[in-house]
Amino acid sequence: MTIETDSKSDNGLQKKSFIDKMLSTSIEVFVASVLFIVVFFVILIQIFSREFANIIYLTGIPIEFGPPIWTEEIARWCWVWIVFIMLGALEKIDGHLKVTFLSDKMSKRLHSIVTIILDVIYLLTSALVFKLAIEYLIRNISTSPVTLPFTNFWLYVSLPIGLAFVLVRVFFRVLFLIKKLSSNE
Amino acid sequence: MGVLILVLAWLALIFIGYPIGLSLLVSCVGYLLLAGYGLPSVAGQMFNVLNSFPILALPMFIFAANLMNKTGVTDRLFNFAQSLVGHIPGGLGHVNVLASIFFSGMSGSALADSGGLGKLEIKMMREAGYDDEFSGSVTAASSIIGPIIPPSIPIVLYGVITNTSVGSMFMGGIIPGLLCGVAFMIMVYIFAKVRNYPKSKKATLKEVFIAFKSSFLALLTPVIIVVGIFSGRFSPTEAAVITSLYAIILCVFVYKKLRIRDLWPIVKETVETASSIGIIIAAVGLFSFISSRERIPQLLTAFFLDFSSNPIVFIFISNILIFVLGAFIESMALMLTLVPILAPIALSFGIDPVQYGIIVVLNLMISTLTPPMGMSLFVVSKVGDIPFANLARAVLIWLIPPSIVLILTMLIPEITLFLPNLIR
Repeated sequence: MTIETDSKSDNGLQKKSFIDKMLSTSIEVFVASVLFIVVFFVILIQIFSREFANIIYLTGIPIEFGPPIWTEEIARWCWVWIVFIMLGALEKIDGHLKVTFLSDKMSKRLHSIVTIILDVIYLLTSALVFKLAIEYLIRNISTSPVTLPFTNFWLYVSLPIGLAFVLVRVFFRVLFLIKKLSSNE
Repeated sequence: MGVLILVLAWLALIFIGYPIGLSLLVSCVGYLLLAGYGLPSVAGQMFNVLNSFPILALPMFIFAANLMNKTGVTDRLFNFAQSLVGHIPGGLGHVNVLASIFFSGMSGSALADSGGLGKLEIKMMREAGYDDEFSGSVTAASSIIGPIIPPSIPIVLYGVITNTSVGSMFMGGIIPGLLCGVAFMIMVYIFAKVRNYPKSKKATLKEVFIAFKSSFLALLTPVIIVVGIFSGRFSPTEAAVITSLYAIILCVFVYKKLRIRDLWPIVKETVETASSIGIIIAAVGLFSFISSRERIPQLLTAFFLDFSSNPIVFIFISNILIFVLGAFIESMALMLTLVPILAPIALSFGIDPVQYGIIVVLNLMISTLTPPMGMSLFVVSKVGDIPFANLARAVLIWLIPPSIVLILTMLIPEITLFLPNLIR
């Protein structure tokens, strides 16, 4: 899949077709990286506020201070978002873990044909999981987390959004590969 | 039968180059569709397995490993190791192993070790006249120590998917990891004697002290992690965040190798790696659901009990299975799919989960050295510019030392349980 996508083409120096543009945008990586930084700082807040509370308790200083209770839940939610929002980005940057010793031995044409077939299967699976994720979201739309002041909608919406990116990216990759195959013939 | 077809479909997709996590996802959804049950729970299973605080240790330890690779700490560790063991016959081979032991306390990934430290080690050994196959083999082999000694990304994953204490497993990995180091050094010594490899001049105490001082802050990392977890100060996830913070302080303020703005690409790299593993974990949530619904662990337990009720027999058979499959399947994928099935069986045989966990992780790390799917071999071949086929042949004899440690760990539970029992 590495021949079809190239993250270095983000700089816009080459004239890109609409399909190329759709393949090379990676807002998901940006969002996921910001969420990762949030996780990092939220867990730091959790650690240091707990230590601070311990110090206050041990020294007997009469200050009312308790560590925040929302940190763990925010961190978990951000992690779920990171994984699902990156579903589409990993298609673009070819970042999925995979075993390529057999596919490396295929001719480019055969590799493209195999990729198209597998991508179509993935598209169908993603569409089905997208539908299931929407149903799950609707079923749980009014449930609430333990510590956060909003509903679980904001957690469960991450999967449909991630899958929407997958559907767009994989769809355009299939188009790109079909176009490339037909132009080679 | 249906589950067997699912696994075969998954393996077939992997072998034709389809991403591991997506292959499992597609196979599981296909299975549930054909089986006619469980489809509405697909999304819920994926959320349940990911929405866990302990699992956050995974991206954070990956972040710490990526940071440590950028600190330039590898040079300092290498110099310190050289001052300690460079004078033994086969000096740089021993240095290679010892530096990997030091680095294992900072990074929980074999690939971070072979990719980061490996480049420097192979360069130094090549310049000193060691042949490429020997240098590459020692580098790849010693990199497996990284995920056995804490911190360890595979141990975090094992702990999360089996609900085993990550802290106890961290402690349980220390002795087997050190034993692997000793076994590799014996192997290096034998090679050095047979091939008459060079040794360096013995360092003076002053030189050892200077090298120690230079690497002291980096060497403190595993102490922070282990003491932090076992004093009850941090959970493993929090320890991973503190390790990352410590690595940032070393990188940016102490060694001055990075600026704050240089952290952004490291965050991006971390997010990409961690999410690719996270997707496999989400798919494994589905696979575990199918496995428990089809009562696979119970059926396999009955099968093993019919064969023998001796736990040692189970440990050996399951590890032969892991060893053989490990040559063909990427270790992380193998762990995530086999462990949810094997760990409950081990428990029903009365095997301590910490001991079994360390055995499985050690075996899986050995599988990163076995061709054709040895990931450490791919990395070392790439960073050392050594032909893969030559390295794959040369590394085979290096499977002996960790295999001996693996067998000892299977037969003597105290090797893994002595340290965790001290603290329990």
